[in-house]
Amino acid sequence: MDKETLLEKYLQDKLNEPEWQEFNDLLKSDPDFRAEAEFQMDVRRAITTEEDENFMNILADFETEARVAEQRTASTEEQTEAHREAPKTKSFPKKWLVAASIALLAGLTYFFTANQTANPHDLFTENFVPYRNVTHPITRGEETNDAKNQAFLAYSKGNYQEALPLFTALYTSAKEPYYLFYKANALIQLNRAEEAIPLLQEHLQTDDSLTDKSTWYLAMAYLQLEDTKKAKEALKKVVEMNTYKAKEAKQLLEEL
Amino acid sequence: MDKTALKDLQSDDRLKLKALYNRYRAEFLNFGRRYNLDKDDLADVYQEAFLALRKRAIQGKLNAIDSSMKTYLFAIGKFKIYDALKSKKREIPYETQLHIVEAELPEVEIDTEQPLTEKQLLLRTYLKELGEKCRQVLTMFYYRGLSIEEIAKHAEYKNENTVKAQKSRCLKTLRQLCNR
Repeated sequence: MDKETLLEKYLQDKLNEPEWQEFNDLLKSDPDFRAEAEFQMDVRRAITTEEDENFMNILADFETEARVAEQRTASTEEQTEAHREAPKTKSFPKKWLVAASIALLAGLTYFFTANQTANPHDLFTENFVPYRNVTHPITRGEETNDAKNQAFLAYSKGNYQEALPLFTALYTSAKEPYYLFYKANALIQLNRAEEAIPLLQEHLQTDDSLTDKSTWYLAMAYLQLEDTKKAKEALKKVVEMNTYKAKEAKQLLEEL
Repeated sequence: MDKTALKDLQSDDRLKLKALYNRYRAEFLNFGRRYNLDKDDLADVYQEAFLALRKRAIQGKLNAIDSSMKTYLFAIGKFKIYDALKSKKREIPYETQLHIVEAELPEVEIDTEQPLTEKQLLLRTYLKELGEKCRQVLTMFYYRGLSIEEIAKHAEYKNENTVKAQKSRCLKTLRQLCNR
């Protein structure tokens, strides 16, 4: 079998017993073959990690969506529970019943009119999830505790308050644009969208692998501040770019 | 294993994947509770198990498996739960290990991955500089494990030689980026 096919089969776990033997012999006798095999193994590992992380991000979205759905069913259950308990309170004085129906009517009117344009802050709550740490994967049980590890560990655990000063310090020393992005995410989560906006705008000027995600988070920041106009502008850009969260942005635009 | 479910798992269809994710999620979170992990930890474990399951599916390693998708997923999950307990330095209770756990779960070994080497990290950044065509062909070959012939059919290349040429061009670019 020619070397190329042998290497191909190896990289895809398709070697049989005699081919394994041949492959191993070549590794020993042919340094060029060995170098090529090692290079392609590295490529395979790099691609695998990249693809795995992309898929983990999708799964993280599924999880968030599942939890939002759970909360919704939980609150409807509470409502039905309340209904079931209602008949227990018998013989209500009539004037209270009248008062209650007026209140209910007012409530319903509010509910229907309020629902025509969704409250930006509610939309924010439904849609915002801090971006998963993809820059510096934390390996479980890892002992190294440099500043970068500490920052991302805090971020991954949801200790955003703790992560903030660490990201600031890291950005000052290393100037990696992604620190801006994660710091902004932490700020939004801490209800400090005003401070996140300039960071995201700065991040948008850079050409980082996360830059295409920044506009979506900018939109989230404006939603938190209930600045519908600017949120819409940002969402429109997300739709135009048609990469990260384009579908979600489109739907949000319809609701706003 | 259920053929339709397997096909859904191999696809990139967000809705189908989400349906599968949700199909086993509640039951898994419930199953994992006995190990004293909180919901967030269990959700992480479930996601890792789901990823491992999908990788096996797209590499065609599940085609010949007799057990159901759920059984297989839970077997991976169980392994990952032990991993999580270990990393939290918690003892795995003797009882849960031997008696309570469903006896029919097959043993599924998962390799624990080493962190990326310096070179691999670099390659990962360079991959992003490659064009869409390159990324597609490399992902199909190295991640999905498709043969050159399958790639030619799948991605509408003229023939196998064009795929090979494309692939080696991409590898060459990567190598040049590394030697810059």
